Amino acid sequence: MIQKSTTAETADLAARDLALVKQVLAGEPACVDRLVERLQCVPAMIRARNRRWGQALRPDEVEDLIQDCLVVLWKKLGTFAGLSPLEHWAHRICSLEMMNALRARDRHSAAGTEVVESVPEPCQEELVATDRHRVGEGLQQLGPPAEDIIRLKHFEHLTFDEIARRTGTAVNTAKSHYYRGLRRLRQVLQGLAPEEAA
Amino acid sequence: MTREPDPKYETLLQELLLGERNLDSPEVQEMLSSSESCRDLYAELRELQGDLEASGSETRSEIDQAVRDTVPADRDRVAQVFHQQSSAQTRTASTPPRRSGGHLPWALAAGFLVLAGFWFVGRDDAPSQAFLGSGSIEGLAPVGEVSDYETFRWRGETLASGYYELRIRDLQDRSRTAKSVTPLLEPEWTPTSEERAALPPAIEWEILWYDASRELVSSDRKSARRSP
Repeated sequence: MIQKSTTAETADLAARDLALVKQVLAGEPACVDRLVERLQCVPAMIRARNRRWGQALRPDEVEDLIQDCLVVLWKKLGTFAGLSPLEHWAHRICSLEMMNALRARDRHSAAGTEVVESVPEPCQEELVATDRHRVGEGLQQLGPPAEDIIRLKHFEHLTFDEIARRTGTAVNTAKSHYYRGLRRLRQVLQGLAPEEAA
Repeated sequence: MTREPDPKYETLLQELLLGERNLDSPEVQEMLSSSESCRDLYAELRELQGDLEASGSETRSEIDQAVRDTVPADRDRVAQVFHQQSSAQTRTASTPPRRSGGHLPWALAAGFLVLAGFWFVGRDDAPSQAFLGSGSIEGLAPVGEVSDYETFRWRGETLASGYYELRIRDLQDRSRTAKSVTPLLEPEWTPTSEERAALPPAIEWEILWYDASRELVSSDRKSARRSP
């Protein structure tokens, strides 16, 4: 369970998570149960995100999304780099999958293949959630290393020394990636073509 | 849209945004007062940093809340998917590459194993799980359109250890469990007429097989609907 913890504890947890994932990928069955313990919060995570989004998905769509996300998480285990705890990694993937599900549903309804009930106008809280969602979407477009470094800075509150240790880069390189990533993110969010890759 | 800042201020702007320079330092003040583009860019990037902080805070609180809101059924569901994926992965990894010729020894070995399996399952002291062999379970009925939900049946046998759990959900709202029956030892369950009447017109039913230590061994889902 994720508790309020120091960055050192979080780093330790992320490192232990990476070891766990490697054991799971090596086919150690007992480790699958430990992975289940860590990621059993995924269904609640998706339900919470849907609530925050003003029930954008119907209950049956949420159930399908949960199923899809669990399969995707399993298939993407090999991409887990141990930069943040497993729950954070899963949250990022589930958010992306939810975004894709909403887009697919919109495309489906735009093509006139399904009658979709009218969606109520979003309230102020939902509009704020949409803005934050755009930030997350923009971050995903950045890709590593800028995305990882910005997330470690603002989502995990790491110092640049800690980020450098966690990502195995020099402190100045981490700072440079952060600054350039921030500028690219601003452009991405403005709908401009990003500058050359950092 | 903000114009690109003067290159001579890039380092200073970076240091300011990284918190390595104070806003009231003379160099920063000079930059902000003399360069409109730097001033605008700094304001935009500070706002972006604020949005990132808010997004990070929201993510952390969402994860904490999800950990608190997790219910036992969520754990079962995650376990079911991960164990299925793990089994599929193991099967794929252990599948030998196809080779031309030399099939006879394999065929003889397979035949021997099948005969040995029949002998083993036929013994009185054979554990019940041996019947299921591959460790998988399969829902048999009701499936598709049926006149009514008479008896729920699945491939398996009477369990000497462990138990089955049957979950029935409304197909229109799968987040709602209409009926849950556990522990079951027989590979079937027949609802009473009242229980049958209370079930939704279209259902998804899931059968879960747990071993004696309450670990999920296998599960399967099927859907059915009453004919109008």
